[in-house]
Amino acid sequence: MNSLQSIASLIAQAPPAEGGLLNHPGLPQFVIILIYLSLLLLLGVFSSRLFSGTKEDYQVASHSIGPFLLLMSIFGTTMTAFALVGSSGEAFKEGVGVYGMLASSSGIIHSLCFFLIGVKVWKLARTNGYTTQIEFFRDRLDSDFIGLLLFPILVGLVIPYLLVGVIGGGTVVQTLTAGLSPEWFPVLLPDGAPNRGLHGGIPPWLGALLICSVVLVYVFMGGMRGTTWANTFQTLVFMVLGVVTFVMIAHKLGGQDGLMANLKVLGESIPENRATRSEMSKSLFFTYLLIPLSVGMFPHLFQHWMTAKSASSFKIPVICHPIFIMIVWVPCVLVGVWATGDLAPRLPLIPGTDRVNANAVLPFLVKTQTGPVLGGLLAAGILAAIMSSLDSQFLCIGTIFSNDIYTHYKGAENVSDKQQVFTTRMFIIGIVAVTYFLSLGNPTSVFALGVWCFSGFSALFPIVFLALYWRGLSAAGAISGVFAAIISWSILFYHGINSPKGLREFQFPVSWGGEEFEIMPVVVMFLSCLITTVVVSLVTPKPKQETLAKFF
Amino acid sequence: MPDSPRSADASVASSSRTTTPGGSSRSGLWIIAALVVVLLVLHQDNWFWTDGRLVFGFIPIGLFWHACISIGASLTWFLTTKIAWPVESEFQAGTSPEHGSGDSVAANVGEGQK
Repeated sequence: MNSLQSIASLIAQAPPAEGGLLNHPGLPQFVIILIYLSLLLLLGVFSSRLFSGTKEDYQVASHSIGPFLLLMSIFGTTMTAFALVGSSGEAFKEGVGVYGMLASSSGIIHSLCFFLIGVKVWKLARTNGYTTQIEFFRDRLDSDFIGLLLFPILVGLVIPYLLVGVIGGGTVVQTLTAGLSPEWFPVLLPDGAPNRGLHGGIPPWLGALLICSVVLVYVFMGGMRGTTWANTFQTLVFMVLGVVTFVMIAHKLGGQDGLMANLKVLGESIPENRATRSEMSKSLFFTYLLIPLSVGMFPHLFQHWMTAKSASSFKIPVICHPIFIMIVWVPCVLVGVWATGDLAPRLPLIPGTDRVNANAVLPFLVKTQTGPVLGGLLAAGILAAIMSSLDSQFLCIGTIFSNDIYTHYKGAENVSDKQQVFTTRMFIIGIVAVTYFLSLGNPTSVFALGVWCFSGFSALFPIVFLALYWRGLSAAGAISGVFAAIISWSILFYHGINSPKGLREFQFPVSWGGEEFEIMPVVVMFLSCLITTVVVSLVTPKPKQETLAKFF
Repeated sequence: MPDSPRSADASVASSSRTTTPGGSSRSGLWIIAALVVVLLVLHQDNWFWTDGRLVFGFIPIGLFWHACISIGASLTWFLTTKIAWPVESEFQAGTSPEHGSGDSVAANVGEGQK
C-alpha cells in the first residue's frame, strides 16, 4: 500500500506540461517498467497454479518442457543484458569484429555443447534421476568429494554473474528514468550541478530491489515452470524490442525515406577502423573460441536441460540458437558502429575524463533519437535480458544448496518431497537477499570479472566432456583437473590484477617463432585442466565396472 | 509411482544397449564433425580482416561473413538432427511393448514421430 502511495506521489509530481504526463521526463519509462514487472508477477502467480507440489515439479517442471519453451528459456538464460547493451558498446569500441568474436563463435559452440553435452546428460539424468551437475559427477565418479569441491566453485562463479545482472539492472532503471523525480532522487556532480544522465532517476538500490523482488516472487511461486514461462516471455520481449529499436534508430539517424536508404547512408558513415578488424588481435579472436564452451558447465543451463520433455525437444534449440543470436546481435553491433560515425550525435563523456561510456551508447541513442515510450520499452527489453538469466541462476543455486548439501548430507530418505521444495525456496530467498545486499556495495569492479567467470566455467569443460565420453576418467583425474583449473585461474587472476592493463584487458603473452602473440587466459586454464585430468586418470584406478555400466 | 522418470526411462536405458551405439549413423557424425571444423576454420576469416567493403551497400563484409557463419551453423545443426541425432532411435526402440513404457516415454515417442 505504501509503495502504491509512493508511486502516486511520484506521478503527482509530474507537471501539467504540454502533452501531459507523457512528456514528464522518465515517467513513461517508469510506468512501462512497472507494467512489465507486473506482467511477470502475474505470470509467476499463474504458473504457480499448475504447481503439483513435488520437488521434481518445482526444480525441473516435471520434465514437461517442449521444444519451443526449451529454446526460449535456454536462449534467454544464455543471453544477458550484454547481448543488448554490451554488444553495442563493444562494437563502439572495437568495431564489427565483436560479432565474430562473441556471437558467431557462440552460435557454433553453444549448439555444439547442447548437442554433445546437453542431450547426453539429459538422457543419463532421466535414467538415473539427477537434477544438478553435482549429482551427476558424484555418481559418475563414485566420489563424494567431487561434489564438495565443485559446490563452492560453481556457486562462486555464478555469484559475480548474478551481481553483474542486479547492479546492471539497477543502473539501467536509473539511466532510463532520469528526470522522474529530481527532488527525491538527486544525483549531483562534484561541482553541485545535476548529473543530467542520472539526476532524478530511480536510484540503483531501489531499481535492484524491484528487480530482485519480482524475480524472487515468480521463481519462489512458480519454480522452474514459472522461470521457463517468464524466460520465454522475456526472450520474446527483448528480441522484438531489439529489432524495433534498431529500425527506429536507423530511421532517425539516417534521415532518409525507407529503411534501406537509411541503412545505406549509415553504412557509409562507419569509419574504416570500425568496419574492419584492423585494431583487433587475430590470436585473441581465435582463442576467444574457448569462452563459449562455458555453457557446457553452467549449472543453471544444466538444470534447464533437465526440464526437456524428450531428447527431440533439444532439436529446435540446437538449430535455432545461432539464428537467434544473429537476430539480437547484428542490429546491436550495427548501432554500436553507427555511433562512431558522422551521423550520430556526440556521445556524453564520463565526467572528468575524455572517454565515452561505451555501455551507455544504446541507452543514449534510444533516449536522444526515439520517444519516451520506446525508451521505456527498451528499458523493459534490457530488464528482460537481465532477469531471464537471474531467475535461472537463483533457482539453480537454491536447488544446488537443497539437493547437494542439505538433502545429500541429511539423507534423501530423511527428507520428504515437501521439505525439499521448502528448503529450495528458503535457499532461493537466501541467495536473492545475499546478492541484493552485496550489490548495495556497488562493487563495479565485478564487471571486470565477467569474462573471468566464463573462463572458469570453460576451464572445467574438459571434466564434463570426459565424464560423458571417456570411460577412463577417474575420480582422482577429475579432482586433479578441477584443482589445475582453480590454480591456473588464480595465478592468472593475480597477474591480471597486477597488470597495467587491468583485469578486464589482461591477455596472456605467448612467443612463437620469434613473434609475440596475445592469447586469452582461458587457453592456459583449459589446457591445464585437460592435461592434468587425462594424465592423472591414466595412472590412477578407474571407476568400478558397475559404475561405468550406468554411463556407457 | 508409474510416472516416475526413473522407472519410465529405465526402459530407455536398457533399450539403448540393443541399438547401434549412439543410435545414429557413424558416417553422419563424421560429416557433422567435418562441417563443424569447416565452420571453425571459416570463422577465422583473416582474408576479410582489413576489408571494409559494404555488402548490399550497408553491412561491412566482416559482419556479413559472420552472419553467414551463424546461418551456416544453424544449417549444420539442422543436418545434425537429420543424420546424427544420438538418442532418437533409442527412444523409438523404447516404444516396443516388451520395453514397457511410461508417460514420459510415450511423450518422447509422440514427439519423435511428429
